Amino acid sequence: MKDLPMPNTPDTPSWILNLENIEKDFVFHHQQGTRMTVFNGFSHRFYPRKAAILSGPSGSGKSTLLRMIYGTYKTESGHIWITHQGRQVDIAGASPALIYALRRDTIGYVSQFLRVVPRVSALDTVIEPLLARGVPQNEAADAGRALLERLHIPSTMWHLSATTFSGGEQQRINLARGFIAPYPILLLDEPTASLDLKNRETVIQLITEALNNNTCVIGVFHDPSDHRSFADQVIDLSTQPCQETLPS
Amino acid sequence: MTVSYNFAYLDEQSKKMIRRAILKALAIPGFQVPFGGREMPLPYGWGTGGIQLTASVIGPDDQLKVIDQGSDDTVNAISIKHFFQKTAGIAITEDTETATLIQTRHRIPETPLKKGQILVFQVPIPEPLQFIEPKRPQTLKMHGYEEYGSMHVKLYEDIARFGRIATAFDYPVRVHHRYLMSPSPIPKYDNPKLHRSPAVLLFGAGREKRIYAIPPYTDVVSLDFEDYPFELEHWEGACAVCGSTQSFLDEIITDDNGTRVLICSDTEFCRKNAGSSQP
Amino acid sequence: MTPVADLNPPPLLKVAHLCKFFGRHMGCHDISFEVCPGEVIGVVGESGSGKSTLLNCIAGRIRPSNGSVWFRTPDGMEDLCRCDEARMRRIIRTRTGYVTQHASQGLKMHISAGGNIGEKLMAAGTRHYGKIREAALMWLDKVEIDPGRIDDLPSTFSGGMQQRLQIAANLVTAPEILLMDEPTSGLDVSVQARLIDVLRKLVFSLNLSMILVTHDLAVARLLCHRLYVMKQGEIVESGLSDQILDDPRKPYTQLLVSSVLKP
Repeated sequence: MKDLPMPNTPDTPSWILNLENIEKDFVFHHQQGTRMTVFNGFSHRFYPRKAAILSGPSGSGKSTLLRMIYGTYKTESGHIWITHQGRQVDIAGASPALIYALRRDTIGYVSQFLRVVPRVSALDTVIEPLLARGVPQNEAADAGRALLERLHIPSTMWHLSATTFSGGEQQRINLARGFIAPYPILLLDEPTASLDLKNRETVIQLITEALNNNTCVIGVFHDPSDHRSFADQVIDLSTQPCQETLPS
Repeated sequence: MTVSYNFAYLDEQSKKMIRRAILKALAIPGFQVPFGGREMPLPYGWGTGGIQLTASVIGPDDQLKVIDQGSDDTVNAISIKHFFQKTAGIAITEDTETATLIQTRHRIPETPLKKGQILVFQVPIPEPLQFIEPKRPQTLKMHGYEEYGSMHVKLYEDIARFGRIATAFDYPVRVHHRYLMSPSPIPKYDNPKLHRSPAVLLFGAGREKRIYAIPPYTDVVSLDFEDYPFELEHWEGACAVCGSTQSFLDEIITDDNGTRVLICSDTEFCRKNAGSSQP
Repeated sequence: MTPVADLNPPPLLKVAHLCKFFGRHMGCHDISFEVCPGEVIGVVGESGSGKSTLLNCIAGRIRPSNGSVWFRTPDGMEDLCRCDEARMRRIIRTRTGYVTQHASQGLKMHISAGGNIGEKLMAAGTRHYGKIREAALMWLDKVEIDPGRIDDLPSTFSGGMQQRLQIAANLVTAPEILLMDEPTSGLDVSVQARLIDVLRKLVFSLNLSMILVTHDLAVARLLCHRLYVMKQGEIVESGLSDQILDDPRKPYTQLLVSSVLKP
């Protein structure tokens, strides 16, 4: 594990996430070894209470960047420094135990699609992050019910497995799971894509509340009107090298 | 006595081999010692193990008693007695007190055994763990490492099914606080007689070719649960012949109407008891 | 699933340079990894890749040709491949559980469900029928088997129930790690889902560690925090489950992941 002491110089603004020269290639061994370079020395800093929106055409690496920050995609070279409980740690090359801890306490991630677990009720799916932090079951369930209500999931569905839910319903369960516990960093991958206007507004409200609660939000949004009200910065990834090379 | 056989049928080398196994068995109470079982002129299951032990330890001065289910005069008991009369010219007795060597199937005599006596048991299945673990290499390790806890599963199954430990014979025991041992199919009524017995107790399994033993005055404890302790069976009534209430009783159906009477399983004890109680 | 783990927990189990040869055939070669308390490790790979050999070496069922299996005990880390066999059997018996692919190998089919659960307790020294009974009833309930069936033989149970009974029989003595060899294969999907659900709950509530050998990547994703990909007796790739399944690097892992049918 690579740890660095927290920089104490007063003129250094306290970033929460610092991408340093990150590189990412995908090599497809069973497609003639095609190499796809998505990031080639990308750097950026993210700050608490700020919302950064990733933009760029499909395939420019928006989701890839979120997954690299979450530790799902391995980083070829460079560093992803994260301020975790007052220390700066690099998720690129972090031990499994550190990544578990980061995901439990520091980084939240709302993926495009809910990964439904059979037989687990919607409510249990939502409150799992709270239970993992040791919140008592009844307290967590109360919070879960309140959030599901805000997202207009009828109470008759709370105890059903999300397996049979519609795409929009599943996405709202996914959002509730992402917002149930406060995280210093929240990654959102097209969270509003399959929602109606009423629920979009709720999600924007939830994001605004999270920002006011010191969270750094990094999001990908299909429709710019969704993030207009809270976005602090739009990062255009289309200028990034995204190229395919065949081995010579 | 027919001269064409060695004394007591077995040749001296075989007897020596069996005696060595017996000594080893006595040295490790309850441990099953493999031995080179010989073919005997009777089928497996009729006491080939017991008969080899008897043949190895018997001497010209011994008084031999043979019982089968407590009885001195069943086919099995009588043919074994004839065998040793023929091959060793040995004195036969029915009297437990004067017998120096007793071969038995399924019982321990009611008359308490004494120092100097040898009791030889005929054993069909020597391995008490067979019910739990059929593989011999595994049971060897379980004995070696004293992994006997699962033996209680058999007793657990009894209580779950019948509300009590229903195992009535071949009730497993721990010998000298070490080896788990099958006491051969004696009724559990006889288990306490194994505990600190003054006699030498030898067990022979002919088919399985194993010998084990309990030296005199050895602790022998029957397995049980704290809340279901080891208990002896009781009978409603006394022996119809001698009136005994202090012996193991067999239930006998006496006619086609299903009339039942209780009679001592130990015929010699019953006869003596009847003789002494009647003036 | 959300893992529970501290920042730097001492490992519960540490496999170091483990090798097993069957004559000239290599079962597994130079395998090293650690398992922390509460961690679920998946070993994936095709049949014959050495997954089960590795699991059997850890479970003390096969003597490895070389290497170590360190296990954390109250007396410190002990190498199961070096300590005497009595000690090794004791550690295996009291601190690990082993769930087989076929319930008939892991259960005693001629002994009632309650007897199967009670066996490990009795082996550990419990001599009180009432307490054994109580524990058996509680565990049947935990693995979602009607406690009314406590006296029934496992042979009268469905395949899924037998597997859940096997899990209960293993967990009754509160081992720290459960070793499982393809516990879900051979079960139809709805039954499989129930088994996975029961396992997830148990892992969470007991802070149980598991090593799960499976060729089913969907099961691995649902249950495991980390995965090891095995091919021809060696580990070719390892990482968090989502890293392995969403960003496979090695040619073999890419082939394995891309070969899965997605409904």
